[in-house]
Amino acid sequence: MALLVVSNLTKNFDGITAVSKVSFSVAQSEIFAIIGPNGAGKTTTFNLVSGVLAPDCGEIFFRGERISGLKPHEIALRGMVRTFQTISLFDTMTVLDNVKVGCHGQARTHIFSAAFRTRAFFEEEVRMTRTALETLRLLGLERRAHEMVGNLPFGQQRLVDIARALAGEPVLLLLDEPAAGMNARERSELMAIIRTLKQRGMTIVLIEHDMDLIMEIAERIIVLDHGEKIAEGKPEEIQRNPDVIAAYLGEA
Amino acid sequence: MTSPDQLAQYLFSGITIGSIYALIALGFTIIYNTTGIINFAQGEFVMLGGMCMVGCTHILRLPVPAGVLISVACVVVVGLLIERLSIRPAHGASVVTLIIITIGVSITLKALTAFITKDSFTYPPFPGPEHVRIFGASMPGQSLWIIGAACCIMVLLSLFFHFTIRGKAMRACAINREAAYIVGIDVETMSFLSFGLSALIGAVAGIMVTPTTQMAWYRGMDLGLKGFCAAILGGLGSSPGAVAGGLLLGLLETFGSFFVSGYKDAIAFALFLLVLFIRPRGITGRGR
Amino acid sequence: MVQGSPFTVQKLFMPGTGPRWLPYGVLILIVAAAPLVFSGRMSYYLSILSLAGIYAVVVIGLNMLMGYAGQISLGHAAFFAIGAYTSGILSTRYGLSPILCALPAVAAAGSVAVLIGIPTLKLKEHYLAMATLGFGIIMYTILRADPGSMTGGIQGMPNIPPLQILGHAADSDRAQYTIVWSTVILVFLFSTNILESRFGRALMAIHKSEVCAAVLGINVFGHKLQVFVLSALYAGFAGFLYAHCSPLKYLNPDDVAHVILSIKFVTMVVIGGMGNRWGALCGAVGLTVLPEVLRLMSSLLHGISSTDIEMACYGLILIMVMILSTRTRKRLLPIPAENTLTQHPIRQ
Repeated sequence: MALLVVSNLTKNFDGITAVSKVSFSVAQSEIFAIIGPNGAGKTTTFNLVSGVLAPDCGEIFFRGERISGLKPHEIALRGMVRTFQTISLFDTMTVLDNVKVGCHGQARTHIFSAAFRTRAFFEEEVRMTRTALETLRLLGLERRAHEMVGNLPFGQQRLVDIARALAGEPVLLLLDEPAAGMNARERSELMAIIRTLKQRGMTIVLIEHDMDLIMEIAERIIVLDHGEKIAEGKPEEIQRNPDVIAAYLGEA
Repeated sequence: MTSPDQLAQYLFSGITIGSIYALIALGFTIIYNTTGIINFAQGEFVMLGGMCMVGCTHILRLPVPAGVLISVACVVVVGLLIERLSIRPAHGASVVTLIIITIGVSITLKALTAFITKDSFTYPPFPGPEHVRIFGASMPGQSLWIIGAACCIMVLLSLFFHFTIRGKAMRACAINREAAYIVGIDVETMSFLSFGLSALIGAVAGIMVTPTTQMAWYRGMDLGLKGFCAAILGGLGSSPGAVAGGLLLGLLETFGSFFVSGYKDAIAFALFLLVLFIRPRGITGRGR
Repeated sequence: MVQGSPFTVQKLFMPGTGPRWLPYGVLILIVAAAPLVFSGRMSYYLSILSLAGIYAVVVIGLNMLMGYAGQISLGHAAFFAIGAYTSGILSTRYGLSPILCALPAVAAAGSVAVLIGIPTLKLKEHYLAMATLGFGIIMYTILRADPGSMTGGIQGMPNIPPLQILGHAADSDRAQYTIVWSTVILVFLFSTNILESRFGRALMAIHKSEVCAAVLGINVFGHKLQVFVLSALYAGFAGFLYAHCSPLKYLNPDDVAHVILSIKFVTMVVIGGMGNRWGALCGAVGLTVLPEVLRLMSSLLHGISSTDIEMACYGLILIMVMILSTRTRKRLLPIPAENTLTQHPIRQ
């Protein structure tokens, strides 16, 4: 049984079809990529899968449960967390606190235990801090944990964004252009991180424009163009697919 | 509401006050469309319009046409100054910040007026018949002035928006501010202009309404809120919606006060909240 | 706020900072010193400070809503009034002991906040501002219209009994001051504890980006409702204090429910720097003392009433603080934080 099954997903905006009858499925611990030219509907697909937008038509199943129609936080709590193309870190907080926001869903103590500083509150706060620091260590950021997030270079901010998503201990991670704006070194670090996550059993779906990166790490790829799926397959199959080449070079 | 005469009476007073609300709602709509700001000081333009006219008739003893011109000019200048001094410097601020700024403007104008006088004023209705009988209803002559002025403004506005280059540019801003900026429309000038235009409309509303009621320093807030209710009723951002919303609010309020008089304002706002919760895009469904 | 907890625990989740009790110590010292300074004939100033403390309770709550969660409310005077009138009605008309009125007063404000919050908090920005403003005006109109001869209408509600503590009526300026400011300190500690937890972090996340907070597993609407109700509870409690612990012991719609009071609360939050707890406290005290200062200066300002100058001050403060904060933020962050064009991938 596939982890994520998307069938016939469709979304229109004011008469323009952004995503049209897209279907795909993602298996457990797979690295799956969605590519396509600008405006192909990749981010819209992410928005639909993560519940930010409601689909006009089609269904989404995650771990065997129908999740289309659920609110974004309900989907996140079921183990699917995403990042955004434009980083929106919480710039009034430190790196550590940003990542701790990602732990929010795991926490159980309520506002009264916080107000009275109960033992359960302290235990949970320590647990969240530990998770956050471990996540930061995984991404090589633990030394910057107490800096304000705005002081970090751009590439590291992207990593904090990913760390924040990882802190929620997701089963499936959706990454929207994670390598955008990264330099070569940061990019290779990112690839190493994605591979480590896969080894730990995490499933990753990513949108990316960087073809070298995609071809190197993705196991399966779908290609969208004008909202429709035009190809699906392994990286080498995609590279040879004439439809894909036409879509990227533009029809005559 | 026993006889048709009484019904007509309520209908016409509803339309009269509704025209005022429609004008205020149009003022909100123009600024909102051009700049994305809800101007909480819109009601103060109305109040200032009325108070300037009071000054012109009581102190300067000017004839009505001159008084109207001077009052409108004064309020337009105030509107333009507000844009320059408080909105422009906060360029790029969040919506909540801009809301707080216009609230600040609103109570500053209120306080400055209260410095000058804290009394309520009125002045005689504009020249014309004292009472007009329509379908058995007796209407004060000023009602005709109000309805007439509102119609004039609406016609002029639609001419402005459809047949002048500035008007078209403002409509472009309303449709998509960023795209308007990219194609070379001076969005800053449009913002400046929209405050002037809203101030003008607000001032006319204030000048027209004062003879039927009293004008004082504190009146701006409730008039402004009613205008905003009207704008929401019709769907925020839609000019025809603003007019429809204003008339509807006027009628509902007039007929509502027939049933429960002490809660007239509460009715208007309860209705407003209801619309906001049930149909946030307004009754016409054209808001955004 | 974390005294008594093992140092290691504290170090683990608040690293880099020592115990932060110093500001609290200073606050307690100032609060304790004020009655010594303002004694005898000067005890009138204590009653002003009591009023400042009462407003501070509202402002601490409103700061959570506005400064942390980024939601605006222009109707908090309504919750203040609900607390004050509930307590006033129960103690004068039904003879309930004032101290027992605290619970119903807070509960009334809280339950109205739930009813209002559920539809209102689905709205954003200017809609939310107008909806809360409209709610405030409805409340004011109702109190003035005097339904069932309960509120006394525009005449108001006089002779509200003072708090009874251990059989003593707390009706001296000093007793009221002590009650008010000890609760202010408790309330302040409480909200610090609440804000320095995952709840506070979630609110800041919602402020920055609701969508982003939601996809990280934060129930945005639930948190907004919680903080809205919490701030209303604070306002309701402050209303209770106002009914029994202010020098007048008299309620009037113009004093407790007027829109200007709501705006005054907003100004107090704004002047303290939104999202700054200490600032909110200072804002509340500063703006309550301001009218007194203006009154002292009124001999210099012939014919202009000090309340009008006060209003003009609020207006100018709101405008200037907001413009300055926008400008400094722009200077600190030269790169636009959010690119609106890429935020709507739909329109590509």
